[in-house]
Amino acid sequence: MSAHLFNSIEKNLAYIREVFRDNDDLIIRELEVGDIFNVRMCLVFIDGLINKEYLTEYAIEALLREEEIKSFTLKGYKTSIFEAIKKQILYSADIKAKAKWDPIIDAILSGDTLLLVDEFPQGLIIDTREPPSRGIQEPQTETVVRGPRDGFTESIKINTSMIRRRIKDTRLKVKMLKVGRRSKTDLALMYIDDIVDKKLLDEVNKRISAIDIDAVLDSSILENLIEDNYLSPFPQMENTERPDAVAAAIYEGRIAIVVDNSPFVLLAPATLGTLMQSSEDYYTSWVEASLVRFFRQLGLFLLFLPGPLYVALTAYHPGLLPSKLIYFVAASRINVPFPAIVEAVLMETTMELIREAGTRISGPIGTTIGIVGGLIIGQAAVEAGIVSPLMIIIVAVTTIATFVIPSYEYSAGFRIVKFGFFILAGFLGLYGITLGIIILLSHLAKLNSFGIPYTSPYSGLGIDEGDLKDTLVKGPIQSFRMRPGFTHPKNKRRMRRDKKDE
Amino acid sequence: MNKDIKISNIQIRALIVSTIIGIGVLGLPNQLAVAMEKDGWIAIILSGLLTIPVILVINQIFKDNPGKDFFEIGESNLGKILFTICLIIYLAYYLAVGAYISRVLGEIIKGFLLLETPLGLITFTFIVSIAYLVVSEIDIIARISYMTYGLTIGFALILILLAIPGADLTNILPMIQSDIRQLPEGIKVALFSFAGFEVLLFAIPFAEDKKRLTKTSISGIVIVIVLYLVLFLVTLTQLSIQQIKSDPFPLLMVAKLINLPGYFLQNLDGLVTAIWVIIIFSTMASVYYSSSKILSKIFRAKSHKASVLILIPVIYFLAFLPKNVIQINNIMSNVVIYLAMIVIFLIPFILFMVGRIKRRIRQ
Amino acid sequence: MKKFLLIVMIISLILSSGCWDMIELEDRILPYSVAIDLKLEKDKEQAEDKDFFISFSYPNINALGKNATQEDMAYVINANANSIFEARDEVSSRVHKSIYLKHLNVVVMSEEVFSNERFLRQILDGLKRDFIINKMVNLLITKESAHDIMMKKLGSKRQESVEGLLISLLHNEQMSTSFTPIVLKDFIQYMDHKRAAIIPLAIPEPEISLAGGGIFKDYQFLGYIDKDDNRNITLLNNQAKNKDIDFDFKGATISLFLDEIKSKKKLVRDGEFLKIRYQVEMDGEIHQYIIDEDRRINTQEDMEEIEKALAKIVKDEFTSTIEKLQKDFNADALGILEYLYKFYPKIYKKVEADWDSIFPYLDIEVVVQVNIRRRGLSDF
Repeated sequence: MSAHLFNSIEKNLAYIREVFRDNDDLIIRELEVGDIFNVRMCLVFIDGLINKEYLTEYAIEALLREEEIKSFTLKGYKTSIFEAIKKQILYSADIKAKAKWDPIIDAILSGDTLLLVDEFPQGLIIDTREPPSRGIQEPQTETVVRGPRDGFTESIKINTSMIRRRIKDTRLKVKMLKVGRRSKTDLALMYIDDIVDKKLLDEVNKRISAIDIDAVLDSSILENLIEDNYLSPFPQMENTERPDAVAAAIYEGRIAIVVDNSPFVLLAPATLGTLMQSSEDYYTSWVEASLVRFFRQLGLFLLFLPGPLYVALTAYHPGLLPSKLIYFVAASRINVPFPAIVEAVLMETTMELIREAGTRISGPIGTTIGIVGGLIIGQAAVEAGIVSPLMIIIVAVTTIATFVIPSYEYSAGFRIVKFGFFILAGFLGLYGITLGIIILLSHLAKLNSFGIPYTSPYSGLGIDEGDLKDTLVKGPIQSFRMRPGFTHPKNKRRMRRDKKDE
Repeated sequence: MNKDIKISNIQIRALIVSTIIGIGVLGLPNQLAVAMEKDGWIAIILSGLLTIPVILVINQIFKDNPGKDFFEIGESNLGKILFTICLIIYLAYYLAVGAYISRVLGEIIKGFLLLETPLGLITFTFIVSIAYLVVSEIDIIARISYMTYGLTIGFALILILLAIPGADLTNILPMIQSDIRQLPEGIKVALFSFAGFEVLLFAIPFAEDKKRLTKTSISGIVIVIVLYLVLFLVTLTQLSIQQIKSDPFPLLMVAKLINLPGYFLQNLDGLVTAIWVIIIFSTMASVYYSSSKILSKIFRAKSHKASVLILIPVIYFLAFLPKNVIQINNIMSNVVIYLAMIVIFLIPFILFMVGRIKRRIRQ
Repeated sequence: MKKFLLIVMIISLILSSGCWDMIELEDRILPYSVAIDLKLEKDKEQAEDKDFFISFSYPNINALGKNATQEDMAYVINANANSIFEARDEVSSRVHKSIYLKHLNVVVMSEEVFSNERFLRQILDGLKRDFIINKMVNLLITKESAHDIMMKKLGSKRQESVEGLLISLLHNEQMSTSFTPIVLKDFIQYMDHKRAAIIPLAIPEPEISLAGGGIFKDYQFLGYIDKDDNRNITLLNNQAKNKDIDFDFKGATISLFLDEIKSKKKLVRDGEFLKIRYQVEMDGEIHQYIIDEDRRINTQEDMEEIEKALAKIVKDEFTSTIEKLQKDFNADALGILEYLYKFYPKIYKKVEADWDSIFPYLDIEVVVQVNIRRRGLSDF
């Protein structure tokens, strides 16, 4: 029901009171303005969402103090009092007149203040939003040695402004949408109009408008709702707390989705290449960044392969290790009572428990858990002869490798996959691992991120544009003349250089 | 025809390379050595060149009928009944290849990695794992091919680098000693190892850039020729000709021989087998995809997903028809070779000629 | 979802019936060497239908690592059998552990086994045919019992390599050129090419060592060559690069170290007949001569004199080895036929059939070129 406002302020107030029944944080401030006619007005807002000082100083004070308004009659001379308030009196920067209830109530819920004037079937929305928010801090998850230290907050306005500061271009579009029947969460789609691929934009818009859910509390919920294959353990969108990363992505022709109340901004599309990039890569020398990228790719394999390989090699194919090594491995396993597969799964489970405990409890207790879990349990297990020392090393390497991957979700995906590999290695040895790789590759190849192959650039898209230079390694900035090809950017050229510069 | 499916040119090249390189590559030096001694490389080059006209014909078929896929072209050129017969021959060929691949893979895995595990389980798990991929469309298979293409080339390079320390280059000599009469046999063997490019029949309709397609597909064949040549020569430098003749999988032997100083990298054959399974996987994927696509077209089914499931037991049972290794090597591979001759060389030519003649008549 | 469950169920059913190949590492025995003898006299009656007495030696993993609990580094177990594989199964049923031959590095066989061509061909075929066995396995011959070689322990308390004594001896080849290791693959290759191969000889007394070798042609055992001949052959084949030599020069012994030895064979036609010329070049370094005013090595002439004398001695050594190969063994250990096959295929076709009657009379000339580069710190 999108009814119009009533003429009578009484009726309007009654309506509001009815809608906000039992909402005790709703404040209705009634005013009477004017020397000749006392015009009844009232301000409606929700306590806590607004900046009261601002409201007092620039709205209430203006209404009560301004000389002009005191001499106004209700009907006015040339303009109505409503128009006069809107155009001449209020000091506020952002004022909108609305005649229908629905947007008005949405605005009140978002922290705007409604000004009702008697005998006018319209309300003035004064932007007084100041949601409780923390200051801009360094992001917790993606710290850099060198590079900007600002991170997103929970407020969408602050977040979009941080991105805008990095892209001073009118072609940067900020498209505001709302999602969630009840939560009415604000979203902002940000992209550069003449770079982004139209098809990609349509796809994102289509998926967001198809959402019908009561509440979207965080960007991760939105991510789950719009990603291509929600059953996959792998994230098909990227998220980041860093405005510089978002700006860089937007320059590449990707779309950023800023969700209110979430410090994590979503980026679409994501590919295997982009998930392995970290903003630090772009702030250090390209040689170092390339080296780090190489180790990161290595880390990806170390994340899920060593454990299953240990099982396969010790229990199935002792012939595949060099002779000297295999004798020592055999010696280290001499009194272990469990088969390799049980030993491995046991240690992996312990590690998962330690990780979970350490994540939920932060601060000094978390560190204690890490030490107790990692060092003491490991040491004791080896001393007791339940686990071979090699297994402890493998589990430790695997766990460290999970933190090398920039994207937490991506490494979590592989952590899940790892358990599948354990089962396959336990049953079929190296052949099982190979089958696992086949299935994993098939799964990754089948995934799309908003119509873009998830495996780009390793599956062919963007090779011609030289995407490998910025995924497998990180070339010098001079070599990135073109935008990456996987986003199908409309404007391909990133840098113009003359021959003589080189 | 689904318009959303797009395959880029580099993917088509990769599709050709990864489909061709598969089961044959391990045994190719052996078969060539049996047929032509040290001059097997002549057969590789000649049969590689022989495939180029076929590729041109296939490309021309699709240029003559823009916007149509293989099945539509076949039906309009040959008529429903005749084309269905052709499709059945195609199906037989693909099933034979699929069964051959699964069986040989099973035998090798059983030999090198899992000595006690039943062969049936190895073959079955392999087919099922690939079925998971094959239910999707050809663009996904092209993506996989691109990944395994990189893997194949990288792997070949590493193998060559590791083999260099133990190489005896004089082993390549003497060159050009064999009889001209040995050539047909050599070409027959080598030609079979080039089978697989017929995947173009299914891929070309979805190509993004149709103009440069001919060049791309030929460059794919050239890559295969070079790769085969290099691997053949590497095998020659590592093993004596008698050994190559007597070992069914000389390349695995080469991998076994790699022994770097420090004895860190020993016993690479198991690793090679594992990587080779992944390389075969892309071959099997396109073979399996083609066969299920054909089956679904024969029965005019909309999607090929059902035929993928139906074909799992079919391929499995076909794979177990030969009783022993000798039957696999002689009977099964001969069946495959003769079917390949019809499917790869004959039918595309017929399609092309009939299409041209019909057009002439219409004009 | 139902489909998914169904697939999971099928797969888990299949897999849970399995784990056929899973054998934990500590339940396996990984032998590093195997000795093959003809069956012993005393076992003649028990094992009537068995040909061989086969022993495996494997490391005692309890004696490895930081917290070793046992002293003995290696165990030896043996069985009478017709093949390595039969022995493997026999032994493994006795020790309740599975024997895995991938890490087999050395095969020692007694002269008796080697001299029986059928046995040799059978054993080598078994080794070659097996999927598991490494084709780079080293072959050794011994005059007496191979089993004894395996049982032999080092007299001193030297640290033994984990991979066994014989392997550490074989890997030590860079230090001594008195033997040339040969692996299965090369041995078979040589036999195929009608080329003679030399299998290093293991000597148990006084301390276990490898020197010289047994010479084989066409899977037939021909006899032994000593370590000097062996070294000459390896030098001519370019398999070794250096050698020590001493000889009497003007009444005092001069010792030299020769390195950078390069040999090249070339076919020179001598009218109708074939003639092979070996061009051997080497650098020398004087290690020891004598402190004597009259016998200083100061001038170019002195050097050339030594070079000349040395060249003659080296040449004589080579020639005598070649003669031994030609006359005593009629074994083409130098790979001359193979050389012809590679570089002169037409001649090869002519001579291939009766190479056995050509080789002993082949004119082989050795030209030695010595360059003495250094004379040490003394200017005498």
